[in-house]
Amino acid sequence: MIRRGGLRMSASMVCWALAWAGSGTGVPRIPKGFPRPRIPADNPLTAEKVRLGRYLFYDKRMSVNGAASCATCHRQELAFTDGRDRARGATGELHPRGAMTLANVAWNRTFNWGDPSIHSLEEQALKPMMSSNPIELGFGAIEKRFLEAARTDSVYRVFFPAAFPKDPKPWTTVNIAKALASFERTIVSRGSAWDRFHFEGDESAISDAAKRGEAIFFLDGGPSCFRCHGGFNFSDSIAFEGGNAPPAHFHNTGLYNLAGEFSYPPGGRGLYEFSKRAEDVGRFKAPTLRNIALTAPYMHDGSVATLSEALDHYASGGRTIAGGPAAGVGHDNPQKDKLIHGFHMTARNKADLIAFLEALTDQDLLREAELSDPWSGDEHSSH
Amino acid sequence: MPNRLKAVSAAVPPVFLLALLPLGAMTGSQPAPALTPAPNGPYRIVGNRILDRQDRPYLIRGTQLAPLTANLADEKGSAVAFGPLSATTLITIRQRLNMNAVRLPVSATEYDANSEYQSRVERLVRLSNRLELLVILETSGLPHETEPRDLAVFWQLAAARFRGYPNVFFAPLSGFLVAAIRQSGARQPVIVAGPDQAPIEGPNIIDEVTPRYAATHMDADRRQQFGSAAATVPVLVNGLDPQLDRPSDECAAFPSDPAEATSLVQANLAYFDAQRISWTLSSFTAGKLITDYRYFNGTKLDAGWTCGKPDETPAGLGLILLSHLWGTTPLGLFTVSHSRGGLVLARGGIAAAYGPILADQEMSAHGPSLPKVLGNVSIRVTDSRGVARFAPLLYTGAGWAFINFVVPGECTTGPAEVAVVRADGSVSRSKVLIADVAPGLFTNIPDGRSAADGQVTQRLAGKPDKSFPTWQCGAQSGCRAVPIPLSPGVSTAVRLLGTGFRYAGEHPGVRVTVGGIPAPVLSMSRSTEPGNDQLTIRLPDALEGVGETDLYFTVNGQISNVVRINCGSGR
Repeated sequence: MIRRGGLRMSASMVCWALAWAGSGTGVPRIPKGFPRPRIPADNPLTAEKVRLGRYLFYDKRMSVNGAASCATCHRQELAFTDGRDRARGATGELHPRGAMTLANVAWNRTFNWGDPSIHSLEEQALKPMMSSNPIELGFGAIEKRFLEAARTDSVYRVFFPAAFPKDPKPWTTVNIAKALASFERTIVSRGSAWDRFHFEGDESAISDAAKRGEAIFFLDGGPSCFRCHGGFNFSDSIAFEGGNAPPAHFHNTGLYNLAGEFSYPPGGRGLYEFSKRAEDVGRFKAPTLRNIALTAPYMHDGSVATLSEALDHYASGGRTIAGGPAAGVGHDNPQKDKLIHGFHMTARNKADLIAFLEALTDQDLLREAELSDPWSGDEHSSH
Repeated sequence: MPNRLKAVSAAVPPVFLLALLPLGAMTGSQPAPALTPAPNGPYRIVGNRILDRQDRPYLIRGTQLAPLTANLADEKGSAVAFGPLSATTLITIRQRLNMNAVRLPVSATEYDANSEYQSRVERLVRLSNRLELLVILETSGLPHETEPRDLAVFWQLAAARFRGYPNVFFAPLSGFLVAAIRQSGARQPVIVAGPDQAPIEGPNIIDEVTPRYAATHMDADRRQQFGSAAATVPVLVNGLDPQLDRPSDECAAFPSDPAEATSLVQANLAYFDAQRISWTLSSFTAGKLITDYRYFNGTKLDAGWTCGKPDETPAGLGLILLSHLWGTTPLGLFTVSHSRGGLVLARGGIAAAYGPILADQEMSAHGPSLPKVLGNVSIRVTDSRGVARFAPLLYTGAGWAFINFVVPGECTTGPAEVAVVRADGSVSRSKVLIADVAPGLFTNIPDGRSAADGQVTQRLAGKPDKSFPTWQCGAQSGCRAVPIPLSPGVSTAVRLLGTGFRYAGEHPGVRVTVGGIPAPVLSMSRSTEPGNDQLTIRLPDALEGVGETDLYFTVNGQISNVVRINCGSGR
């Protein structure tokens, strides 16, 4: 029996969902400054689907051994990352790359570090569920059992039909993916101090250091960080309705320059792993910088521990690793992106850039109740 | 075309931000920008005021020039940079920084002994005055480096030579030298070190103080050092350069945080304004207010400083002084007239805004019908009547960059707001002044200072006309002004391309100066391209063989930028 509390959603969340579904209001309630995200026609955003997706997102029963859920690698308090250099699956297997943030994935053009083949969140949701090399959730092994149980589960027996009212048998993996995608589309980050400064004109929202850092970040002809991390989502991998979204970009930043045929380590060769073209070795997506202060360690393999190190890497035009199996001068990587040209950076410049990047942290996102785990606390105990 | 337009951006450092605005409710609470008054002597001192010939109060807002040495490159420059005392430098101080005075350090011993040096000083003074800068003559070097007798001789000679120059002040600083100046018959204001020294008898005395950052933190400090005196006598604050380029006491006393340091300098400047205290701060030399003599990029505090550590980016007060004189803050949007780079925009002329443009991408536009959105940004001009119009756009950069636009010709003159309006709903604002005329001359490369962009036509009786551009670019030599072969019997006309003078009226007052010589104006008109105007002049034979020299013009009293033209010989 689901009591009233279990169904409760904040007014804002309902508005979001309804608005994006286009049901009635006509004009979507998209955050100011953000374009309308692309939402598949066969999966319109509804409050019911978002609710179902949230429960699934935090449900450890989705994993082969009950040890992990989506939220294991996408923790709200870390802006939906996991704080690890590389993600670990439910069985402990190590993923070759780090977990990416889910903030603003609704506007993502690509969804992985170097995989251009996934075109929607619905497709993406299936990947960690079904992946076997490495195992992430291992859902494939318990798929049948989970779906059977969902029919009688006190939550899912109601939530699935509510989310998919036209589907007589809604307890399907496809619908799980749709619900997860719907929930993830509501993980929106647009409440940083910089947003208040930029959009609302609140001059006191960020420090003078952050303002100086902003000027450096966007300086054309200087570091030009914005060339890869520009736009409303601080990423050049975005997609939205009705816009001239740029093509999907992947960049080799000179993080490695190994001797031999491949300049990047195995399992971390980026776009090459899909295209098999030599020029794609080491090319990865430039992720959003929103909440970047919370998403350390950095780069696809978490090999850069701090923002300071990341800035040093870019200022040097590539990372130099003096010894060991990864030794090499990234600056000289033959596939390095021309945008990674290096730049002069004083200690003050670096401090200001970090202040700016820290100003992109959205504290509301970390506390937003509608994005939190519904299985714990009052919300679930009311079931 | 795009190159020409980008020029202004390179001429002004991208982070220079300007804001001004008049109309309270329409544009915000910042005061309207104001041009510092051009010199208008003779001056006299009444109480604590310096009054000009029309009895209007005059406040000195200036800086120190590099000392005039025996090196002719001081004025002429080199192949890679303009001279520290060139017309280009002077007009930059006037138009880009909105200052109205310069201190000219002169070698007393050289002056006493060298008539050619004396002529160069006079030439420089005359040029500065023409370019709307009051000149404060002072001696270079430390006081103990020159014999008192030589100093007395110098001031007698200099005062005698410049007593007829109403826009020259003398700064001997030592009270005993005032008599030497007055004995020559010079009546202009004399600047002496004060106010602690014994009062100087006689009229037209200005007290100079040279405060230190170590002792100037609060208004109480300022009041003690010069504020109280300023209530009764005119006070000129000089120096206040934090000496960030060396391990100095001043550098050590300067707040190490850029924001704190900026606040301190701004507090000083605000105090000077409030107490009507004149100032000549820092110096317009590479490493002080500017980083170089090629692009005249203003120094900033943003990158920090280490009091003289080699290889660091020069830090200084350039951006702070500029933003103060433009009525804005160091970070933000900064809008200037094209080529000229001043805070006055001409209606119908091309202008550039720098700073947080944040367009999606770099884009250009051409043709008679220009777009009003480029790269998802627009420029909104709100004039003094509160009427807002979107401006036709020529170019936009992405990121922290610049954007070129045409000021709508329908705008009313007066204070106005220029705003970058982005598709994401965010807005960055700046304040400007709109006038009928703000003449700018295009240059071959985007700096507003290099070779004039135009076409030469030469006519010799019985021969076909010869036509060629005013500049050319070579693989080895780079882009330079082309020598124009002048000779008697050959009529040489030059059509100069520019902007900002199409609304000069039916009978505008136009004066063109080339190499210090007036050049007749043949015509002035607008081009078919939006915002583009043209001015056609005749080059006098007297310019034959002068070589590369300065060209500028005034329209209804408004001075253009200074560009370069090469007057060769056809013989």
